[in-house]
Amino acid sequence: MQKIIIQIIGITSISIILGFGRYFVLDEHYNLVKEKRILNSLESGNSDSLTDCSIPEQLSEPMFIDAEFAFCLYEAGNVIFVDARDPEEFEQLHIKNSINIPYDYFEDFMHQIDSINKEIILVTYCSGGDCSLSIDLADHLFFEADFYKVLVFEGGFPLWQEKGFPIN
Amino acid sequence: MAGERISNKLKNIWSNPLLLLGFRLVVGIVFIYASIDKISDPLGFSDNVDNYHATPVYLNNLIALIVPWMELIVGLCLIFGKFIQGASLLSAVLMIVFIVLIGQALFRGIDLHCGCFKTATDVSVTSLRSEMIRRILEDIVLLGMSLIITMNALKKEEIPL
Repeated sequence: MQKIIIQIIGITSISIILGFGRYFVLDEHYNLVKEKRILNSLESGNSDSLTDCSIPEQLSEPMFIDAEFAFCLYEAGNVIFVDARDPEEFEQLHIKNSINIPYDYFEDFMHQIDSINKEIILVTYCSGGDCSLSIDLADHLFFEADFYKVLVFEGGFPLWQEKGFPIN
Repeated sequence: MAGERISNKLKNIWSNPLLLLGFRLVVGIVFIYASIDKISDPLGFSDNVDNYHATPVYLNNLIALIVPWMELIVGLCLIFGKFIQGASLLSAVLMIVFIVLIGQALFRGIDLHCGCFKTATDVSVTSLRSEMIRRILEDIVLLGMSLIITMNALKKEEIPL
């Protein structure tokens, strides 16, 4: 038993040493302690009447919006809802008139991304809760594809459906 | 009597040196192959770990740095028959961890690229859920092999190549 414990400790220790060794020779340096990506929220000016869902001309990064804000934008138009989930899930049910750009396959959808007017507001969403695909896709659209009005609907499809908003 | 005979026969099969060597080679090669891309791209693998939403985010960079090396060393130990007891036990533990991680994601409705062998997205995969189920089944087979190696290794001091 003692022998097994020594072997396991040995293998683990060598792995830790090599892991740190690899870290120090990496070209790209990053923090060993990862920080959770948190987006600021954009608040509705008049959440009761759902009439004010204007967004600033220039955002410094994608921002979270809640269900009411998302619906207000949906009603106002000039917005594209982008479903970041898997095509299988999108085909089952999705926000009405939304398009599907699954984050995991976005290279395949570059032609679709390139055809979208950069002036338009993009609202990404996925399955809500722990799903981070919408944030990852929003980051990509904002920082890589040069869209400058990118919002993330935090509650995602489950909340949209729960609120009884239009779905396909 | 017949039950005892079958049990003895099974014991003989599971402790067959050639079969054990085959299992060690298969599990060892899979572990080494799985480690290479993760070692070369720890940041990409850290993003894969994030997607499971099963570990605290602040730990994921460390996990992504250490686990691939553990896979590589375990794989080498299994192939060359060194530290076989610890390595085979670790391989079984790692397999259980992978099965639980993918299983919990599947159960919670999180569709993801498992990052098992490649940190980048495999565009040939059309259904993430089917892919996750396939990975779990593969891991269960590999876990079975690891457990058989472990049980035999615990009986012997060292297995020669």
